Amino acid sequence: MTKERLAVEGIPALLISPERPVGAVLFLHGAGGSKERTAELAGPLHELGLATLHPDALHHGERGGGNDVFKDKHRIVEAQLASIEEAPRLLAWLRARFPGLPLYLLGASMGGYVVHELLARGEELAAAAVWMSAARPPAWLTPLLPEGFVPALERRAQYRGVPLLHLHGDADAIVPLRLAEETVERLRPYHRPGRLALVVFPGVGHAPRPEMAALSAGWFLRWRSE
Amino acid sequence: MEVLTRIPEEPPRGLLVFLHGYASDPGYLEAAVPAFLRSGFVIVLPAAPDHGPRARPEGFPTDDWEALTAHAAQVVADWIPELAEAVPRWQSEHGLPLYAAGFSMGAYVWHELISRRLARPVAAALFGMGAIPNVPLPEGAESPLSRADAYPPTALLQIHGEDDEIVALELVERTVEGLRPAYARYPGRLGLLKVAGAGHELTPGMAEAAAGWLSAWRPDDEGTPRG
Repeated sequence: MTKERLAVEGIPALLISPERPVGAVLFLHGAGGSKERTAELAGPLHELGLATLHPDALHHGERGGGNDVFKDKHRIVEAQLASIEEAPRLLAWLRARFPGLPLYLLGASMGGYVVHELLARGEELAAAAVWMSAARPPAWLTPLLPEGFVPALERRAQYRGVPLLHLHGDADAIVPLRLAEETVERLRPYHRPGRLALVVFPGVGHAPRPEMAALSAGWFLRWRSE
Repeated sequence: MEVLTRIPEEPPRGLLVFLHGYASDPGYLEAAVPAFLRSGFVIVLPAAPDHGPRARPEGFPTDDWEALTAHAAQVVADWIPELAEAVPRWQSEHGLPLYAAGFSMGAYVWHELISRRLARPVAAALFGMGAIPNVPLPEGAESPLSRADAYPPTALLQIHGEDDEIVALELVERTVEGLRPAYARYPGRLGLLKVAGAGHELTPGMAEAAAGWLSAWRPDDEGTPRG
């Protein structure tokens, strides 16, 4: 296993790779998170042979801020919008670094919404997983979004049926479960049977958990040869 | 009891006892086996009474619904004590921590074994049926949910097709609701995976996700309650 500290397209990131990776994952953290935090959670992905790239979002980690991002929610919006623009370049870099290997996208909370944005832009991926998020930002964030912002869910016809797993606690007060349920329900017509799924964890709030990584790793492996 | 055993190439992390469904056999589960082998499980696939290599010459009473449900109940009743005796023996033979998987009737049988404290898997992945079967329980039988306190700290993931027309998703949702109070102090150890467009089946995606779930749990996780 190798762990590299990089600047990818000028973005501070960690790249962790098994000796012979079978796929590569872009792992996007949530508001208040960091590349180090997602790297801590990625063990099950590495165990199944997946390399992982962990960038810091704007106002996070080495790019300033941290948990205090919640004191000014405009900074969350700025981070989210910047991630939407940066993620395709990070994916392109990952694709070039691991040519021929399946590419996956994983996002937690704010990062999960970015996953949906990329899917709504028709990004070609082997599979994706979204933790504690949905294809529509939560109500508390919506008034801060720029005028004319159209949530990914409203562009669902542009999703390309990429296999997508959602994982969500039903005690999540930050991004309510009903947003994930709505997302799955409305994406259903655009996915072939078995390619869209939701795991609900009773009593779990808005916090990433190691078993989410294990389930996501299994889901990714299923789709590596499709 | 007839048993198939599959051994992974890498040093194993656990013993997975994988139970098949009614009117099926261990062979149905073979398609899911590679996912669990890759995750490092020794897999034991026993055949239920009257199933697979233990099939009775007259087959199943498929023309008579009452006879069929009575037969299914009898198979479950006979399999529980067999497994209660055999599972610890297999575990001892392999010297590995116990994990559980089951499809349909096999999932229900695991609910019985866990709730009666006849087996204590580290984690379980149960497909296509919960603790509420799609046929009435025999008269006087108590639901495994009446013994919900016996489940934790076993980490339990129910996996179900949203379009299952044999065992309605609602029965599994009620199972998870019934277990929720028992798991309230064990957040993250109870989950329900719903797969859009899947019926009463065990899809490759379900198997891979289940393998990931099982491999997330170690026997040294003490399952210490929170709160």
